[in-house]
This record gives sequence, C-alpha cells and structure tokens, in this order.
Amino acid sequence: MSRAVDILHGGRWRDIAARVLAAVPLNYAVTSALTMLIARLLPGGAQQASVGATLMSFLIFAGLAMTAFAVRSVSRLWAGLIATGVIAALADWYLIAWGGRL
Amino acid sequence: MTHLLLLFLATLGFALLCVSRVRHQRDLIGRKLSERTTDFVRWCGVAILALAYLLAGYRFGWAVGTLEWLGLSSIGAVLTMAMLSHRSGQNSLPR
Amino acid sequence: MKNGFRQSMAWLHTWTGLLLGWLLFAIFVTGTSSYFQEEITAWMTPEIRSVPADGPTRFAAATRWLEREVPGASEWSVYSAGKRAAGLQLYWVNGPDAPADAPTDARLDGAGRKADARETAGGDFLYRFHYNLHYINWYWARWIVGIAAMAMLVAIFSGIVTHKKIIADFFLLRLGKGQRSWLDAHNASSVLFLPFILMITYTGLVSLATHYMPWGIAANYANEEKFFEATFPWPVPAEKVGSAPLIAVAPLVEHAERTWGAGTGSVRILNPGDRTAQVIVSTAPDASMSVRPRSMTFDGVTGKLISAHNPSGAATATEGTMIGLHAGRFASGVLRTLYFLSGVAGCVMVASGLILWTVKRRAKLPDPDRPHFGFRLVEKLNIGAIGGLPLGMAVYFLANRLLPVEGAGRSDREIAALFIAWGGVFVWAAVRPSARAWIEVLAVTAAAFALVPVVSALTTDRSLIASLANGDMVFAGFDLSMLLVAAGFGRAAAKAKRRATSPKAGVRKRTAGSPVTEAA
Repeated sequence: MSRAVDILHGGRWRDIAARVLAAVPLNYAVTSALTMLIARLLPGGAQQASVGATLMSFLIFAGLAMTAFAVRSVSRLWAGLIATGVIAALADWYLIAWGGRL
Repeated sequence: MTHLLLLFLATLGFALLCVSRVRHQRDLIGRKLSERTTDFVRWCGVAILALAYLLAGYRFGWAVGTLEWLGLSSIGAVLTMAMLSHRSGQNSLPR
Repeated sequence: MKNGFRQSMAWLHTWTGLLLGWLLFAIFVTGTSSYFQEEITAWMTPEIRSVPADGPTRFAAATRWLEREVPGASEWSVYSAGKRAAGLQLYWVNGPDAPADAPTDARLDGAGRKADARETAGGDFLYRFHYNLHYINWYWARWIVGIAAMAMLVAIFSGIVTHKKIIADFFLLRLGKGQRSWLDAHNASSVLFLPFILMITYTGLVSLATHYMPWGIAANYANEEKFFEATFPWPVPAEKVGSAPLIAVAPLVEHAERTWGAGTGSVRILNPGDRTAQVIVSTAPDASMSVRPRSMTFDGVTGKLISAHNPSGAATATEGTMIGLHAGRFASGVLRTLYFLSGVAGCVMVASGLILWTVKRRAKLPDPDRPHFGFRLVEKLNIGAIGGLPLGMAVYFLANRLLPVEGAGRSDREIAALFIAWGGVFVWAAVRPSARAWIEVLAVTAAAFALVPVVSALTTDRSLIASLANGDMVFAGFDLSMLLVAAGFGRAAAKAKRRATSPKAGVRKRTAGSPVTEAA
C-alpha cells in the first residue's frame, strides 16, 4: 500500500474519510429514518409494514453507500444525506405523534 | 431422469450461446459463421434454455423448478466455459 | 462522468472486497458446509445408526422417554431436522425440585433410545460459526458478520457495474496466464453463479434483519415484545393446577400431518402431566420454502385442538421465503447439491478476488523482493485465511476421531483443535516466504483431508469400505468427499510448486502485467 502512504500525505484521504463517514454511520442514521417512514406508510397493518420496511432497508443502505462513492461533490453528498435524514426524521416524529404506536 | 436432461439442455443452450459469440467461434467449431447463422444459433440457445425452464417448472413446480433451473444453468455455463477453455488451450499449442 | 462512475465503483469493489474478504471467505466456507451439517454431525457421531421412522412414531417414542426420565419437567421440546436428521434432539426445562446441574437435553435415535454418542458439536458448530463466529460474544459477532455481509452486497453491485464486458467475457477462462487467469476465475465464479451469490448475500442480511435494523419495528411498536408476540404467538406454560395423564401424542401428530400435508418438525409439551398441559406441533423445516412454520396447539389432556397458527401476510411470506432460500432446509438431493456447489463457487469467488489483488500488485512492485508492508500483510493474511480454515476443518474432523470418546469438554477441545490449526497456519505464513508457505500449507491440507477417512477406518467400525458395502451413503459420501477435497488441494499445491520453480518465475516477477488483448 505505498499508494496509501501517498494518499495519507496528500489531501485525498480527507475525501475518502468523508465518504466513508457518509457511507457508514450517516448512512445508517438516514436509512433508519427512511425505514421508519416506510414502516409507517406501508399498507397491510403494523406488523406487515414493519417487516416489509425492514426487508427494504438493506437495499436502501447499499444504494446510499454506493452513492457516497459515486457522486463527485462530497459537500453535496453530505448536504443531501443530512437533508434526507432530517426530513424523514421529522416525518417519522409527526406520524408517530399523530398516529401513536402499538 | 429429469435432472440429467435439464443439465444436458442447459449445457447445450449455453454452448450454442457461446458459439453465437464471434470471438469464440474459431476455438469451438474451427471457423467463423455467417451473421445470419450466428443469429440463428443464438436464438436456438435461448430457446433451449427456455425449454429447460418450462420442463423444470412443469416437473418440480415453479418455485423449486426455478431454483433447479438456475442451479443447473450455472453448472451448464461452467461446463461450456470449461469446454471453451480446453479447446482454446488446444488451439494455441504450437503444432 | 460514466468513466468516473465505473472507476469509483471499481475502487469501492476492491476495498470492500479486500477489507472484508478474509472474514467473508470463512463465512462462505462454513456456510457452504452447513448445507450438509446434518450429514457432518452424523459422521461425527458414528455411534448413532439412524433408524428411519415416521413422524408420529418417533415423536411418541420421544414423549415416552421424557415421561420416564423427566416427568417433573415444566416443558418438553422435541425437534427433528426433517427427513435427513439422524434422530431427534430433546430439550426440557427441569421442575423446581431437580438439582441445579441436572441435564436439560438429550439425543434419541429413531427408535426412541438415548443415543450414547461422543460429545461433539458436529456440523452444527460450522453452521453457527458462519453467523455467530466463536469465542466472541454473539451480539458483536453478528454485527461483525453483518458488516461483512453488507460489504459483500456493495461489492456485488459495484462489481456488476465495474465489469464492463460482463456479457462479452461470459465464457472466458484463460488458464495458465497469471493475472488474467485469476481475473477470469473471479469473474466466472461470480457471474455464472450471480443469482445465487446475490440471493445468499441479501437473504443473509434478512436472516438477522432485526439485529441490524430494529427501527422498522420501533416505528410501529412502542414495545418490541408486542411485535414478537404478534409474529410468534407461542403459548407459555400456565400455573400448574393438578395432575392429569398426558394424552397420547402420536394421534395428534398424525392429525396435524394429515391436515398440513407435511411432516412434523417439533413437538413442544407445556406442563406435561398437569391439567393445564398443552401440546404444540409445528411443521418440519423441509415442509415448505418458508421458514416460518405452521403450528397446531392441542389440549394436553383431552387432545382437543385449541388453536392453529398459519403465518400470513405478504411481508411475512416474503421474509419467510427469503430466509428459507438462504437456509435451503426444504431442499434435498440434487437441489441441495446445487446449493453446495454454488456455495463452493462463492468461496472460489472470494478467494480468487483476494489472490487477484496480490497478483495484480506484485507485477507493479518497484522491488519484488522487498514489497511494501501492505502487500506483505495481504499476502500473509491470504495464506492464513484461505489456507488456514480448510486445514482447520480437516483437523476438526481428525480430532473427532482421535480424541478419547469419553470425557467432558470434548466438543470444546475439537473446536479448539480447529482454531489451533488455523492459527498455526497464520504463524507459518508469517515466518515463511509466501510462495513456499502457499505450497506447504496446501500440501499439508491435502494430506490432512486424505487422512480423515483413514483415521476414521482405524478408530471406528464405519470405514469407507464398510459404508459402501452397507449402502450407507451418508458415511461413504463424507469419506469420498474428503478424498475429493484432498485431491483438489493436492493439485493446487502441485500447481503452486510448478509456478514457483518454473524458469519463467523470475521473469514473471519482474515484468509489469501485460494489458489484456482481445482475440478477434
């Protein structure tokens, strides 16, 4: 990994680190918020909706992880993910406060 | 039995698909085919694979049949690849 | 932009594959062997000769055994792994006046006799390892395995995107050409088995879904318990009120099997011998593609049907089928063998990917005799991970035959033997030059696997010859598989030796990897 040394001395490691942070912990938070939203919105009863949303969550996570390394601008990546997460979380909070949980 | 037949059909189907690739024709059959023949061979390969799927679904039910077809198709593709690898190895040996 | 996308996906594919590849290889090897875990367990308990018996008879015999041996228990559970299991597994919850160290489980053969077999974890150890690992708390182990599985999923998707000539190179396998051959092997094992690879990875995540993603449940349920009660409505033992004879179990099992048109997988009896007794009969794992069983609950005294549970709902059906596809318990015969071969392809995919990484970079090393630290690390880890686990498994099987049959802690020592051998390979790889280490490890592994049927013949009365003579396909199949695997590793060792000592070896190390040329 002599190139790793080059990367560490250059600025590229910051780019990679930012993408990894977006692709793993930030992704997990956003995916969780989206999964909760899907669980609230799917038809068929609470139990089926919860199961269905959980099944989809892995596809969402994988997709966002790949996006984190595909998009050109890291700042736009973070902005987009955070915005998505915040909107989903707000929607979750509202739906749970309004509809209640079992 | 049905499994052997399915394996045979899968291998045949993929072998035809392999022949329908121009770059493999010289290794597999010793000469290049015309474009029309190549197209015909390709459609034969697809048809045989489809026939195998119908046979698997009819014989084992569509759930298990799909799985059997996918698995046996993979094996058929591997056998085709092994054939091609063997023949292209032979063809590149010094005479 | 398209090129940038492909390049970034190639980078992602390399890193997710490399960093998690060693663990993924272990998961794939142990997971693949799990498709024959019952057979492995049968081979590792040669004292048990399986006696075929139908559902009602077997479960009735088990109930009679439990009545004799543990009448005071508050709960009896009898499990069968389906048609391929050698016997029944029993568990029970001892009554309040039983001593604290009283046993809580037993194994019965098909005739209802306690199987006095050597204590071993059998194939079940390999199965549990592939998602629980070992010597690590299961909670964290599943997280580690889950991260590896998600990395695998990303590696699959990014690999598909990156593989520009996925159709054009579909049948390509150029042997004896170094880096190109490893690339072709990696491509072939992944593309030709892509449906399986994709399915097994995604369904693997689904199998432990709530461990990783509990928020789907949390969105609709303030209390997780309520969700699990709704999903798995198993009755719990009530307060005991007074004794009453337990009804015969065989007719209940028979009635259930007739109603379902499928075999029984387990019989649980709550409060046996009490008026509040209940008998819960559930379908066998090989009864349907979904793992969520159907069940019937009967009154334990009168035999009246109290309730029936049939999992329903599209999401439940999807989840149950996904987990069912992963475990493949419904599969038998040819389909099970296809599962196994596909798993082997997965192992080849991971291993060839890891080796490809070193082969590619060895060609680009500025000084091949003194590679940088990262390269050496990957090389050594490859030998330890890819060469070590198979040797460990051979040693596991040898230990099963060589360790004394009596004595407690035997199964732990068999498992320890596996890890000692595996760890030994890492140490060997660290101190030996890599090329030599590969040859030596592969050769020793071949020898170890070849020894398994020999040692088995010398220490038990179920040798390969005897098994073939008796038509015992499980034992014969296992021994023959050991010889086949030994042959495979022997061939690999021979090839590695030829490559290392060939006159071109020196030349190969010094030329850069030649660009891939296209044949017309």
